[in-house]
Order: sequence, then structure tokens, then C-alpha cells
Amino acid sequence: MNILGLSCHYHDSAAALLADGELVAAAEEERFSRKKHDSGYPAKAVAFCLGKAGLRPQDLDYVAYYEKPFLKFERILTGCAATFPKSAGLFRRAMKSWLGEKLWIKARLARELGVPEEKILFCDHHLSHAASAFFCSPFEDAAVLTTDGVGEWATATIGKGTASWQEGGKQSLVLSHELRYPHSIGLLYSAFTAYLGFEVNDGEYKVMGMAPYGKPRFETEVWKLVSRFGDGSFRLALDAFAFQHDAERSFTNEFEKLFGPPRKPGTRFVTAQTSLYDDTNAPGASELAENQRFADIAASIQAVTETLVLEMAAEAKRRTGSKNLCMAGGVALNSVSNGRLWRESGFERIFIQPSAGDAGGALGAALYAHHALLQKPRRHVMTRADWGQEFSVGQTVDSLKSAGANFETFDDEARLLERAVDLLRQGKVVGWHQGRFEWGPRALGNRSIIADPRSEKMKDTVNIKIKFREPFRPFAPSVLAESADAYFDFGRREVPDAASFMLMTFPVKDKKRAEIPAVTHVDGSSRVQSVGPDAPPLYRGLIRGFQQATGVGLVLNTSFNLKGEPIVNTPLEAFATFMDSGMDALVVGSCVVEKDKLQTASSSWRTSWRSSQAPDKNLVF
Amino acid sequence: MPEAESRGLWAGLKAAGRAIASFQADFVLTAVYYLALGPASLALKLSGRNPFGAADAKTGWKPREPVDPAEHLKSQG
Ligand SMILES: [Fe+2]
Repeated sequence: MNILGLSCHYHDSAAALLADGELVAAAEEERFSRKKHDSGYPAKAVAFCLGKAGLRPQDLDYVAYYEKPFLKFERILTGCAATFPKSAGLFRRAMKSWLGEKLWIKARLARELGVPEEKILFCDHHLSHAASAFFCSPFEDAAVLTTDGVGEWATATIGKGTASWQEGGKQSLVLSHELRYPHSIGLLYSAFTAYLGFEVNDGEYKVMGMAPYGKPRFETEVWKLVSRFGDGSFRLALDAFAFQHDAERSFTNEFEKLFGPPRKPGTRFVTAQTSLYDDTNAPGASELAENQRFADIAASIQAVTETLVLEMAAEAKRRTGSKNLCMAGGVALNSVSNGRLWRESGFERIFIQPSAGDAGGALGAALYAHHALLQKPRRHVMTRADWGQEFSVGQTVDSLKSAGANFETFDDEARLLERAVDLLRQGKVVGWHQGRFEWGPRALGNRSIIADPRSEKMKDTVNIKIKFREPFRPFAPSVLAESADAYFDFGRREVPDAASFMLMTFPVKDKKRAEIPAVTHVDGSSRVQSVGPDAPPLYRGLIRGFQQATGVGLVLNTSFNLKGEPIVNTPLEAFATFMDSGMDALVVGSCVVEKDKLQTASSSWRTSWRSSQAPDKNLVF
Repeated sequence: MPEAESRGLWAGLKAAGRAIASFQADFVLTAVYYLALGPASLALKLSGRNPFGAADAKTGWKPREPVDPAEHLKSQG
């Protein structure tokens, strides 16, 4: 039984393939098309998934799409009618895209894949999120909480899953209650993302990273936008928001009356605590005060979000009585609120789908069809996230040669690790490209940039010289699971499942903060990736090697990409990104490239390669 | 006509065609908006139903109807 799950036409399109309930492959289209948040039909991701399974489209038993297009269309029309006559612009824009392609998705999928329309299934958006979490979790019974911007009508749901690994066991996932558009945590957070000068659906991480520089002194004002019912549900004060009738603006003048003028996109963010790095232009008092206001607003919306998520989780617990919680939806990527859930919600175990955003819906739709429709027993627990494309030694060597790179090849893994650890100890920043790329927005040791976490200046170096991004952004550590408790305060004895996917933030223990400054955020917190026995062995071996050499069982880990670009896929993309940044070395498969040993041929290759790689060109060989 | 010039002319014609099509689409959609959504909006107001949730609601949670997976997955709406 082969089921292909698909998500597309909103943001982050993706494909995932199940063969007899086992996950074979899952990937976001952006990794192939090189277009960040690519939302188009995921032709390349589909081709990759089918290729990985050795299947042709006609071998598919079902194709499961991650939402209900007609319901979503109805919500848009109803929303436009309810906000008439302010919604004329939104209506025109929405109709062009809906009448142009989104309404005909069934015929489009049938045509693209060459499968009969009867094989195409449509799973409700939040049910897809819920299935992506519950059917990947290790639990037979769990409460389920999904939270995002909006799906069809729902913006959050709570429900319960019961499922079995035994043949003949009942597989059930029921979402019993929903919160409806426009009352949405995701849209509330996005309005602040826009207000703080970041791009909606992309800059939410930046708001979360900015928050620790502030104090939540605007929390009362944020609560004026949100009326709570005392059961985890709430209403938004719609006068302050414009997203329901305006495609360009998320908030209104009422919003600005509460918080003051918005931050201009692209302006520098500098407070008394942020680094200036090599910026010689010292900020004046008014710039500092203005930016402190923005940091305080970020801290305030973050605090309110945490409270709302905690209250929703409490309601899910109350209604289901379950000791386990599964979560998905874009808000489930808020690692700070997830960390608080772990410490404060009372759930014994929490599983969060690593691809919690809409890309993950592709997998959820396929899983729902497999388990709820076909009543097949469970075969899969998601303990790792490397479900993307990989490259052979031969492909890697050919790629590097084609780029004119001189490199060293290590046939012995132990020697390769020794070399990599050596580079890290010397303070070098290393590109690390191994195995299959990760599912979800986080690099977890297969497409990562890694560095020594002990260095005070490493955070600035990686932000400015390597990734060309804002100096206030924090970095995460990959820590050996068995050493995690020595560095981080999980608030409980166990390390949470969700920490394997870097989905929870915890305080760094006081006595350790000075030891690992590069991965300790300004408030002493850290978004921890716990690297346990299920993680890719080479990555675990690297961290263990670093521990043996330095006594510190963790490394700085950030995604292998430059600002605004998708994470790299191929060895050539890794090499080009390495060349375009201040990275010192690249470990790709068993090959090691060092920048100071490179010959000039590579520089001229880089220039011609980059200019030939406009997004959407086929980069996969 | 030299090739470069004819290519430029063709690109210009295509851009003009797109602009006209977009203008026409905007015109038609604006007409639909006022002629169809205007009355729909009025009907919504007269019915007293608020699709964004009643202001005097006691909770924001709405119960979801139980679904039969086979029926659920077949439908686009
Ligand atoms: Fe979603």
C-alpha cells in the first residue's frame, strides 16, 4: 500500500511517501527548487520520494492532500463578505489565485501524477497536522493539540488519538473541538511579526529571538487584544487587526495606538545588550530606547503566546485525561512555549512533529489515510528527521572535482571525525554535510554549520561572517543526550522527546553559562538538540569526539544556509555556500575541504556557478 | 527587423497583454465583489449571524462533528 502525501499552494510545499505504513521519504520542495518557502506544486519533491521508493506514479494507491480546498475557499468568501466593503483588494487577489489554480487542485494533481481522480483524498488541515504528530509519536494514547495561523476555518484544535501497533487494533484520531478563524494564536503572533518589521511566515523566529532582549512591559496592552474565556479559548479584538480584510497589512491604527509606530523593516536592532560586532556606528540614546521598546513588545507577545498555549494544553489535558501530548501546527515551532509546556503542563511525555508547519501536513494526510481510513496498524515512530535526499561518495567526489576544489578524502570514519574535531578545536567554523537532509525547518546534524560553543566571539562570527544575518540571533547546541542534564535545566529528570528535534528551549545551568557562551542566549536560555542513540551515528560520534578532546559534550549547530536561502541539499550547493561565506572548512561525506588550502580555480568556479543558479533551476544531478 | 528588436517588441507586446488582462480581471472581480458580495454581506448582517463568532459567546471552542474517515477523505469541502 503506497500513499503519497502532498501539501502545496499556501507556503512550504512538500511531499511524503508511505510504503505499507513505513515512511520512505519526506522533503520540502524548497530544498530542490532553491526557492525559500516554495509553495508551488512540489514536482521535484514528489519525483524524489517516488524515486527513493523505486515507484512510479501508477504504483500509488492513494494521494492524500493536506487540506480541504472548497472549505478554505468558503472561509475566504465568507470573510470577504463579513468585512465588506474593506475587503475589495483581498477579494481580487484571492480570487485570482483561487480561480487560477487552487480550486482545481484535484484535476491538477491527477494530471501531474497521471493517477485517476478517485485515488486523490483530501484530509482536513488540522487533522493533517494532528496525524503528523500523533501517528509519528511513540504513544498508543495521547491528547492532541494543533495550533497555527489558520487552516480551512480552524486555527487550533484539541482531540485525542488512540492507536495500536497490533494487527486488528483500533486506530482512531478524533479532534473534538476547534477554535475558529479569525481568532488565532498564529495570526496574533504574525501581526506582531509584521509590526516588528519582519516577514510574516518567516520572521516569527526572529521575534522569538528578539524577545529575551526585552521585558514584557507591554503584556497588559497585548491582553487588550485577546479576551480569554477561561477554558483555553479566546477572541481577538478584531478592530486592531487588518489581516481579515487586507492582504498587505496585518494590523490597524488601533494596534499602533497601543504600541506606537511599527519598526521599519531592515533597520538595525540594537539594545544595550546586543552586539554591535564591527559596526562602528554607536547607537544614540533615542535609537537604543526605540529598539528597547521593540524588544519589550516582542517579550510581551511571546509571554502572552506562552500563556495561551499553556491554557490550551491544560484544556486538552482536562478533556482527554491523557498523560501524553502530541503537537503540530506552526505555533508548535515556538520552542520557548514548548519548553514551558514541558516544565509546567503536567503532561508526562510530549511529542512534537519536527515538520510542525504546513509542510508536515503532507505526511499527516498520508498517515491519516493509512491508519484512520485503512485501519492499518502502526509501523513507524519518528525518532529521527533525516528523510531527504542523500549523495554517494562518488557523487560527492565528482561534485568537488567539478568545482575545481582540492580536498582530502578519509576512508576511515574515525580519522574523519578526528580531523573534524581538530578543526573545531582550532576555532574553525565547519560546514557539515552528511547523509539525508532533514525533514522540517531545523538542521539536526546532516546539513549543519558547526562550531566550538566555548568561544565568546563565535556567535558574532557565525551570525555576521558566516550566515550574514542579524547579530541578535541566537545559536543552538547539539548536546549528547547523556550529557544534556549537566548543561541544561529541563525542570524534570528526563530529557523530553521533542528535544531530539530542537523544539524546546531550556535554561542553561548557571554554572555552565560561562563555559558555553556561543549557545547561551542573552536570557541564559538555549534551544537544545539532544543527540541520543537514535540520531545519525556520525554526528553523535563527532560530538563525542569533541567531548573527549575538550571535556564539553556539545557543539554549536546552525542550519547550512545563508540568510534568505533554503538549507543546502547537494554537495555542490554545500560547496558554493561554503565558498560564499566565511566558513573555514567543509566536511562533505568523507571529504574535507579547507578554505586556506584551496586554489584559485574554485573561486572562478563559484562565480560562474552562482550566476547560473537562479531559483528553480534543477540542481540535482 | 533585426532579431534583438523583434524579441524586444514581442516581450513588450506580452507585457502589455498581461497588463490589459490584469486590468480586465481587476475590473470584472471588482464588479463581482460589489454586485455579489455586497448583497451577501447585507444578508449576513440582516441574519444577525456573525461568521467570526458571536460577541456574547461563552467559549471560543466549537465542537467538531465526528467524521467517517472514508467520507471525510473523499470530499474537498
Ligand atoms: Fe497549518
